[in-house]
Amino acid sequence: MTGRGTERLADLATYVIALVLIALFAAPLLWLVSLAIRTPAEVFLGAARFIPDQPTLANFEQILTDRTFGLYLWNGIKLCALGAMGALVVSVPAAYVFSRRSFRGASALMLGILTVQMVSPLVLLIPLYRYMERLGLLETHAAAAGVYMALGVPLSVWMLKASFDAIPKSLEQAAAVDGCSPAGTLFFVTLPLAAPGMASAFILNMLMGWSQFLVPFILLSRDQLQPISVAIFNFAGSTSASTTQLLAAACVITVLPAIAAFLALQRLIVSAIMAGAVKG
Amino acid sequence: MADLALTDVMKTYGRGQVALDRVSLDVQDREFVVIVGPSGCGKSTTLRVIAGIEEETSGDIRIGGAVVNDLCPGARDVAMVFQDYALYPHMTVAGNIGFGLRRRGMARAKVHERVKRVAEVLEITDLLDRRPAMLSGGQRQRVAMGRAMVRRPKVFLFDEPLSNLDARLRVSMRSEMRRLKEHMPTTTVYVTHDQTEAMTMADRVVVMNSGRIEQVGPPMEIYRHPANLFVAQFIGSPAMNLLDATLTETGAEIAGKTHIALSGARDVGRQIVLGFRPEAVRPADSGMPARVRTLEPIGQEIIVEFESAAGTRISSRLPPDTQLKAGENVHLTVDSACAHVFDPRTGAALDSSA
Repeated sequence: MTGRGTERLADLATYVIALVLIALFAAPLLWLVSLAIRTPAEVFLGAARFIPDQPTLANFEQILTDRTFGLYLWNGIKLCALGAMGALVVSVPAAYVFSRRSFRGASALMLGILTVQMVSPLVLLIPLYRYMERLGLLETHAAAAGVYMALGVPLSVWMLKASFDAIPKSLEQAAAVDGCSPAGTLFFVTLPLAAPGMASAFILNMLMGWSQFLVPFILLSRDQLQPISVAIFNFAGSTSASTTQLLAAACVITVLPAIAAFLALQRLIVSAIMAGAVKG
Repeated sequence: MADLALTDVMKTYGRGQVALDRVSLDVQDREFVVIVGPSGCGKSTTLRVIAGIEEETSGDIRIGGAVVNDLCPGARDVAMVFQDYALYPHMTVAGNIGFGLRRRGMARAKVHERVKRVAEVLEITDLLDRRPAMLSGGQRQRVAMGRAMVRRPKVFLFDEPLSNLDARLRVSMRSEMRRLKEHMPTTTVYVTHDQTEAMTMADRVVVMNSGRIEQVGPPMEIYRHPANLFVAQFIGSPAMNLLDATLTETGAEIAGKTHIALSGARDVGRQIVLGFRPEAVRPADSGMPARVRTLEPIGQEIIVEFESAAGTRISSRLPPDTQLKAGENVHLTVDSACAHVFDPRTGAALDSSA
C-alpha cells in the first residue's frame, strides 16, 4: 500500500518536473508566436497581452513574399544540405571500416574523432578565417558548407558505426557467397540496411547546420550569401521596434523546418527494418 | 555437380592458435557428408574455409578438381545455409531466393521461373511476397534453403541449419532434408553438433576434435568401430562405457577381478581401456559386481547407471520392464562381441574385438 503510494508520488513529481521543463522551453517559442501574429500597434503592449486581440497573418505574408527572405532561406537550406551530404559521404566509408575491420589503434582513433567534437568551433574561428582568406575561399558557400561538413563528421561516424554494427556480418557473407563483390555487397546489402541510420545522421546534420550561426557569420559577409540565421540577426540589429512582429514571423518560419525535420527523424529511429534479419 | 577435396588445410590465428590442423577430406560427387564435433572443434571453420569466407593459412581446396583457394566466395559456385539464416531483411522472400541468380546476371523472367519452382518444392509459394520479419523460424529456414537450392551450386554447405529450431520442428526438418537430398542430390557438407543429425542424414560422418579430423566413415561404421577414445565417447548416447583393464590370454581383466572374454591374439599383460556400449551390458547372475545408482525410464527403455566396486560409472540400456531399485547390488555381464579395446596412452583403437 505504501509502496504504491510512493510510486504515485514519484509519478506526480515526474510530471511536475516535466511540466516545468516544457514551460521553460515552450515559453520563448510561444512568445515568438504571440509576437508574430500581432499588428504593429499591439506589439507595443508587450507582455501585457499574450493573446492579441486582433491576431493577423499579415506578418507572415509580408515575410514570405519578400524576395530576399526567400534567398536567405534558400542559402540556409543549401549550406545545410551540402554540409550534411558531405559529412555522410565522408563518414560512411570511415564508419564502415571502423565497424568491419579490426586494426591497431581503432578505438583510439574513434575516441580521437570524438575529441574533435569537443572542440568548440568558437576556438577555431579565427584561424579558420585566416585559412579561408589565404585560400581565397572567403565569401563562398563551398567554404562554409565545408566547415559544416567537418563539424558534422565526428557525430556522423559514431552514429553510422553503430548502425553498421547492428547489421549481422553473416548477411554480408551470404551476399559474398551469392556472388557479390565487396562493392556489390556494400551497395546491395549493407547500405540499404544502414539507410535508417544514414537518414538519421543526415537529418541531424541538417538540424545542426540549420542552427549554425557563427561559422556563416564570420565567413560570409556579403548579404546575398547569408543563410537565414545570420540574416535575421542582421535584420534585428538594424531594425526599429516597429518591425518586431516581422522579425518574430521570420523566426517562426525559420524554426518550422527544424521542427518538421525533427519529427521525421523520430520516425526513422523507430523504424524497425532490421527486425527478422536473423533468428528472431 | 562436383567432388570436393581438402588437402592438408591449416588455419591458424594471430597468436598461434590452431583452428584447423592439417584437415584432409575427400567428398565424392553427390555425397552428403556431415561434420560433427563439440563446439570449437573447427567444424564451422572448415565450412567457412570451403566457402571462402575465411582464408586458409595453408593447404589446398579443390572443387571439381580445380583449386579454388584464390577464388572469392561468389566464384566458387557453392551455396551456404547459415546458422542464423542470414536472410536479407529488406528483400521479399522471392528477392532473397533470387538474389544470387540476379547478381550473376540471369534474366528477370528466368529468375522468376527458377524461384517459383524452388518455392513449390519447399512449399513456400504463398510466402514469396513477404519479408523475412513476417516469417516463423521454420519458414525462414526453408527460405534459406531455397536461396541455396535455386542456384544449383556445385556444393551445398550447411552450418548448423537446424540448431535454432525447436525440437519438434527439427525432427520434421530433418526428414525434409532427407527428402530434398533425394530430390536434388548434390555434393553437401553439413556441419552440426547434434550426433542424431549426423547419424540420420549422412552418407559419411566426419568426427572432428580440436581442429583435427578424428575419423571419417559411414554412420554405423563410426558407431560400431570408433577409431579412438574421442569418437567412442562422442558418438552414442549415453556415451560408451570405458574401463581400465589388463589383457589376459583369453580376454581382459577389469579391476575387481572380472574377466571378459575377447577373441583374437593380444599382448598379455598390456594395460588397455575397455569400451562397451550401454546396450552391451546387462545384469546377470555372475560377473562384475556393481550397485544401481540411478534409473531413468524414458518410455521404450530404461537407462540405468551402475557404479562398479572400483567406483567407475557404467550406464546400461535395459528393457522397460527391468525390475531394479536404486542402491541394489547386482552383477553385470558384458557382451564381449561388442567390446572395444583402446590404447590408454594414444587413445587409438586396437583391433582385437573385431
